[in-house]
Amino acid sequence: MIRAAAGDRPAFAAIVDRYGGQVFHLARALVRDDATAEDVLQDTFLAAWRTAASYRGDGAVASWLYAIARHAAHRHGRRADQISTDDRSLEALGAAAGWGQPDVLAIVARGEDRAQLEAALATLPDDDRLALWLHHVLDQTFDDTAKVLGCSVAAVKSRLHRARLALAASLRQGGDHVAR
Amino acid sequence: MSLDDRVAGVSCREVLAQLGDYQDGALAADARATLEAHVGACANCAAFGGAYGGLVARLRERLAPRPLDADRAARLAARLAKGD
Ligand SMILES: [Zn+2]
Repeated sequence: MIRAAAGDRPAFAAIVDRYGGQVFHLARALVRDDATAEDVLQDTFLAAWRTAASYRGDGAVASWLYAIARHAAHRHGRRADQISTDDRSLEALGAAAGWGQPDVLAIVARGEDRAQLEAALATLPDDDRLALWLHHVLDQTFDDTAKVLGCSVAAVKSRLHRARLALAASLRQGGDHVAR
Repeated sequence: MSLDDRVAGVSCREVLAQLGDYQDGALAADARATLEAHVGACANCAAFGGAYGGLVARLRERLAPRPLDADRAARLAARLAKGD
């Protein structure tokens, strides 16, 4: 599909049409504001257009685009530094996420609200947030998520677990501070 | 109440460590059966597992990407046509 689109503007336009929203929302999860996310969106498809002819991967179009978008987002600067969840024990993450607390299900209720969910995601380290987006929102397989992140499938699974715990912890802590 | 509590032969700590693989359907059948036996008899892990799974479901439901709005799509098309 990608090689078919190389040099073929209508075919490429169909790819832009199909994946533009996904790329923009992924970019928005990686950079600080809408304007920067739009720059990342444009840079991603421009780079994709230029490299389509030389694309020799066997992966899906989506993961190819998401990997380009990840690099483009890095060039536009990362969000503020965050403490890596790798430095925290699973026990500490579980406790912060509410293990053993009577109100643990409150995180699910808070997660109903898109704004609260996005605010909690914004507190996570970049690769944690990216893993959650790729796998749970954009339906990328473990294999494709690993390719975009440049790590092993085992590392993706471990990262997803830590990221979900950290997200739950952030929802618990930040829920009261998010504007409604 | 502690992560060291053992129910049905495993500790809550071990269940917490395996919860991600359980959620992802990546546990072998025997490990899954052991985890489910624990969760069936441990109120803390049952509640936490429900919240964990519920949160993953909210991610899928609430963050579904929308198509580009018309203005943004037009600016993208213009930049691609210009080629730089
Ligand atoms: Zn338990």
